[in-house]
Amino acid sequence: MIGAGRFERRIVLALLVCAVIPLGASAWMVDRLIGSAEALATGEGEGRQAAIERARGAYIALFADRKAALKQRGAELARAAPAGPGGLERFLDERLASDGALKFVRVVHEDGSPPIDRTRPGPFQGGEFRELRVDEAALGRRFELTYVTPRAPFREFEELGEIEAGGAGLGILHQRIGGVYRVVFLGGLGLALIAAAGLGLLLARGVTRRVLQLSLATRRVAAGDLEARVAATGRDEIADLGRAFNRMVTELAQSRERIAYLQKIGAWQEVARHLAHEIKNPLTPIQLAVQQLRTSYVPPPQEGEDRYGRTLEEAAEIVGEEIAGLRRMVEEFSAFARLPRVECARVDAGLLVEEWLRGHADFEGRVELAAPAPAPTVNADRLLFRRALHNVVENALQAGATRVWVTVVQVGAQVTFTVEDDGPGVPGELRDRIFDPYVTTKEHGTGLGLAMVKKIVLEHDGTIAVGARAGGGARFTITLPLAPS
Amino acid sequence: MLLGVVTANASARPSDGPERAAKLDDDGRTLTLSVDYPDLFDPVQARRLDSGFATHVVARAWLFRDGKGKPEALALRTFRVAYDLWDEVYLVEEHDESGTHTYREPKREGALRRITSLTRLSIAESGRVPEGVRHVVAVLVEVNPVSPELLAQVRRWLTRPPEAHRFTDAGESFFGSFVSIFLNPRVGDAERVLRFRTSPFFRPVRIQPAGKAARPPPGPVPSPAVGPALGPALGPKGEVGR
Repeated sequence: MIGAGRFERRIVLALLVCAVIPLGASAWMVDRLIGSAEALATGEGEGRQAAIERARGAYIALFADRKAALKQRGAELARAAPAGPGGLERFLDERLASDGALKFVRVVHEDGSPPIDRTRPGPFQGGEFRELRVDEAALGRRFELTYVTPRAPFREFEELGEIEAGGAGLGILHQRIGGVYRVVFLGGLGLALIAAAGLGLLLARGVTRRVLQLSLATRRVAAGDLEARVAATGRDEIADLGRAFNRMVTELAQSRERIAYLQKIGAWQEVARHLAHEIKNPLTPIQLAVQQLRTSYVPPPQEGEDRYGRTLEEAAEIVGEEIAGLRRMVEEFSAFARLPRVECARVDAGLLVEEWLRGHADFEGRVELAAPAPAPTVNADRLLFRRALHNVVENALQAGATRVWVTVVQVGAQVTFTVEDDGPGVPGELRDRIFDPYVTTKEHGTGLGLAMVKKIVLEHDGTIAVGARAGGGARFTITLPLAPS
Repeated sequence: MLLGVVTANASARPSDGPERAAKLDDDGRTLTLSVDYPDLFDPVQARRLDSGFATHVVARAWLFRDGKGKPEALALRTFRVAYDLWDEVYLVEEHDESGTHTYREPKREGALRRITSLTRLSIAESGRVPEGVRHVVAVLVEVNPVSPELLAQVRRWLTRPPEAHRFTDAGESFFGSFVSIFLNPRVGDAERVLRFRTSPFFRPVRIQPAGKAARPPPGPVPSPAVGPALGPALGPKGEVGR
């Protein structure tokens, strides 16, 4: 677990480094970019402010000039006004007609005579003008003059002020926007780092979890538990490793089983050899002794029932039959004990079965073969494999089957020989032991036939299994590796 | 929106700024605040009033229960001052919930006095300020704050950059939208910001003719009443604070 954690940390660290370097570089560049943009904005703002200042000065000068001009016109009017009342009114009317900026005139006399008011004819749009009051005194009279000037420049000046205020506001916001951009980018950077770390952890955990399972399974195998397997789902290298591990353990279990079985068979072969030897040796003297008894017996001369002679004859027959039975058993033991070593050669699997079947005319009509042509090639000892096949088929027929089907197919890298029959089948409780020597369901069987079959198959690096046929009966499945091309 | 509210509240904590002398009056109907803040403008900034361009001053006052963080009332008064280059007077427009008042000040000092003081700013209805409970008023004054219109315009620029400045459409617009989420109206975005608060105060408990007077809350011993009905002040001579 500690190792897995270290591995996870390394993966996460590697991903973080991979994420940090470009993101950090881009963060630095973004910071520079924002700084440059701020500097540009500041420079632009200063330039604009200077322009606004110049415009402001121009407007101030314009207003001052206009004001001075109107005041000068008022002073000039006061100086030029005639002294007499009739002439003054005419003068004022002429001035109001000729001076477009003059809106209203009031002349107040210091001697107390009624003031003279003159208003410019025609409507004045008050909102479009601003007024200027000019007071002048001359020749004992006070001139109260109201001049007007267009309001438009004042509005423009106000707009200039709004532009200036907007610029100042933008200056404030520039700093905030830069900060916000930095915060957003750093937030994004942080999120990217968290995502990278999470992704790394996820990826690493996906690997380390399975590596840990493999490690645990390996320990179980090392402790002798060949049932240990790992879940090998997925299509990556770790899944391949898991599948390879499972295959390895399966093969290891099969190999161990094969070795154990062959060792056991070897021991039984030795026992069989001894038994055959020990049984075979006294059989001939016994047989000879019985024959001698029969031949040396002289029936009594008197007529009548020879009870002893009949008993002797019956006993001699029984002994002879039993001796014959023992001889057959001894032959089977001897055959089992003397099984030769397998010598393999490349052979067509279908042909192998077909040749064996052709040599057994007694099986005709009862044994049916199905094999592709050409069939896959296997490495097999023709003699021993035919013998194994013969034992299986014969075993089925002896067990009471009337039909046997032999099928040859290629399944992956293996060739499967299936022998199915319509007999009574193999009871479930016997299936694990059916290939052990001396295990039989037949009354006179020795239980050596299937043991020999399994030994031969195992020595071919094959497997054999027994099960039930779908429609009733037994099903033996022999697999041999496909011969390398 | 939520961020903006939170930000606004965060800018109005009663603990913000130093204590400042203020006068609180209660005429039985309204609690009013009067306070001066002549330090809002330094001489250079004060001279900028002569430019002819308008200057805006926004003053906010939050009423808090002493020790609480959630304001109970908010009062707002805005000023617009501009030197009229034609009439050669300072035009001061004052706007609050009572309406708009315009003043013509021939001197800069007069205009400054107008915009650097709050006179009888209605803080809350008297009935909403319980007697005998300590309160405090936090004040925030801004000079030329960023206008909501400008902020909205900037947000539009960020969300949909002008065609001339657009070099990628979707990515930049998305990033701009993301950034504009964080660019919310915020109290304090201004050329100058001044924060201060009053000393804690409370409305005095009125003596009931036949009943018992409630006991004042723990705290400094109240000085003589300030204003028509406003109770104890912490400062001398009708002012709270130092």
